[in-house]
Amino acid sequence: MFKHLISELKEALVCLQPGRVTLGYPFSPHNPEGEFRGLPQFDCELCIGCGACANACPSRLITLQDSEDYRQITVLLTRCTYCGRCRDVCYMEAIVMSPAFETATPDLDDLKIEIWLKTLRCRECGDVIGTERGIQRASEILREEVGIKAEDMIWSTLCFRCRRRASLQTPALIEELKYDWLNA
Amino acid sequence: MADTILRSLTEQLAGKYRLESENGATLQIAVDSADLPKVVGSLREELGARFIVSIGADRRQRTGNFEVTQVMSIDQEQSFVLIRTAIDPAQLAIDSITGVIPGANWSEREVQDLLGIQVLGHPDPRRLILPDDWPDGSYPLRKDFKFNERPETDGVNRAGPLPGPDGSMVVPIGPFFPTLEEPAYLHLYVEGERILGLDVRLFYSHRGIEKLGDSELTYAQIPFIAERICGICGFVHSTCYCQAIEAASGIEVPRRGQLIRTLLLELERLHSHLLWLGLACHFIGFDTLFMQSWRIREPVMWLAEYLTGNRKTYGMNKIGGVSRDIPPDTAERMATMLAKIETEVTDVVDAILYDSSLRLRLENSGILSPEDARAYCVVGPTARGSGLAIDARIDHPYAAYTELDFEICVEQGCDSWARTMVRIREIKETLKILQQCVAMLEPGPYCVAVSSIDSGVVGLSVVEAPRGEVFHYILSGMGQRPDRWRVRAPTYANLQSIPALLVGMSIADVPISVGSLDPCFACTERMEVTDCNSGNITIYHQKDLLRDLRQQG
Repeated sequence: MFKHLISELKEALVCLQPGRVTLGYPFSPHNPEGEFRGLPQFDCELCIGCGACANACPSRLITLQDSEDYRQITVLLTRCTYCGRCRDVCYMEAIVMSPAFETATPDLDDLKIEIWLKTLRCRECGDVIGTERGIQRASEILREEVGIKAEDMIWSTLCFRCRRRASLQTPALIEELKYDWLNA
Repeated sequence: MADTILRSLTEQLAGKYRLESENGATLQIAVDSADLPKVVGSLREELGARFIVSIGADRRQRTGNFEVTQVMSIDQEQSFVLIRTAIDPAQLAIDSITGVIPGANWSEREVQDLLGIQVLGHPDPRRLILPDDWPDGSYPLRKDFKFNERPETDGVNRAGPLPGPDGSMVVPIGPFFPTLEEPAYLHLYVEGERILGLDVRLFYSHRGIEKLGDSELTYAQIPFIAERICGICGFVHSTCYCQAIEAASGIEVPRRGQLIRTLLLELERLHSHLLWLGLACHFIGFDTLFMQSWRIREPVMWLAEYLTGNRKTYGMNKIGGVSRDIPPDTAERMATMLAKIETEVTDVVDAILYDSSLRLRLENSGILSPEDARAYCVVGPTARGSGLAIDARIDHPYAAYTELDFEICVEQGCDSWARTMVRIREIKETLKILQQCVAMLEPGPYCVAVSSIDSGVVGLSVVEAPRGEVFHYILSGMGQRPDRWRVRAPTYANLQSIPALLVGMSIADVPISVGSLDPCFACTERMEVTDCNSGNITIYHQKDLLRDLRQQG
């Protein structure tokens, strides 16, 4: 009985010691610290529309849709698990995980990000080769890092099927491309 | 290791099995259906093998047969025995082993439900997982069943509760279990206050993520869904899955990766045990301790958030290691926090140890004898509270546990109090392990690149979750996804012991006795929970919501 009494007194002490522990949130903002991963933010100015994030997203929330002249990248963050895979794979470092975690909303558009990028089409068959920005970036890498010769950049105006056809079957097309490139 | 097993197998069961492969600690043998109970029985009797789970698989595209694999663990030898039985699609039946090992009950019913393989001689062949009105002849785990197929229900109510003893009254608890706030239905047969018998109905929220794993997801995507199997111990599932893949394809995780995994696993055990301590007290109406225990727990969650970027350590595991490093000041941060938690836990434990009302509620309730514990193949603190020294961290060491110094906490009391004591002692062991982990952290690589994984390889792994041993099995397939992925959460084993736990108790002991198993229905049923409350009619937008949430009045 005595032991029980002591025990109860100790329990009371355990409750009194810490004082008030409740945080002010939501009446005062809560700022997560460190590398907290909240909603991803996409920098539309940097995005080249390569689709690496769409491949990596385990929740499959990022879709690519090519229409007439534009590639539409749609990110619907409804089921986002904040895993950060999209950020990890983004070549352009266009994605950052923001500290925003308050995502409750009745309006789906609050959780939707759309990026429209102009596409480039093959000058022969008209198929979409990629986005203008993507091809521009690839060309820069090829020129500056790989050291490809300037005149070989003529290939960047063809889709991969036409490139193959040109080099195997229609050498005349190569001459034409070179002529156009020199006179451009 | 495997030699000893092989030799004793040869003596006991000459001619009854064929050796298929022997790979380190994993022995695979093929056994005919008729010999299965005998083989399983003598493995258990002669070698002390512990049954883990039965895995049914549709292998018709590869071998022309269905396959049922019994997984047994020989803890002293640190090895596993996989007993494979090929099932001819024309026969579609297998002999039951539940008579020999009562703990195989659910596994076998699951094989029957999901693959349509009839289990011959099963004592209780009712449905377990599929809804009662799911049509016959539609088996979700077969390869010709699409992952998103929804067969028409036929309106027949197949399952009824088991008949109870004569003259008893029925007290239904559920289908929403009141103290656990999770879906479970207990059908109690009582005489006065005393429980004479019962029937359990579960799997209301089975969502079939194993099917998703072998039909839709890829190897790299599965960790993200595996860690969402449980809302408390998610990290154990992703670790266990990654380890199974790593075992199948011979990937060596770098030491820092192993240590980070160990550290996060132990942090998870720390907060899970504190959570349980609070909940257990809440079940018996002792809300003071519920509050205090959760107060102590909260800094652990903040630390996890700081270390991994997510309160629940989600998105951290990937095949080959962990996906990001932990911050450089981890050691300093943890040192202060661990010291604080240690004093706080000691204070609380010191206070409650002689609280006679608490002990009166916990002692002699929910008694699980060592024999029953062995029969139902329970794991984790439930087993250790009944005197069985089972701990995957020692029986099948993984991650960095071989380098760590800690003891298995075993209690002989067999009641809810013993299980409480096991967890309280484990909190202290965990703090010890965490301190060692922090001291061992050295800079270095934390993950390796992974190439493609060959098909037809078996990988399995166990991880000691806070609730007991988690088991993941992978049979690799084509197209960078498994042919079969099987998850056995600890509660799947532990909950089967409920009848042994409750019969003879009074109704008031039910919540705490069931609670003392630390059951996690979400794990057992392998699902994700989505909470859909009915919405308010006023339309708010994000900025209005934020404004209103942050301002008073």
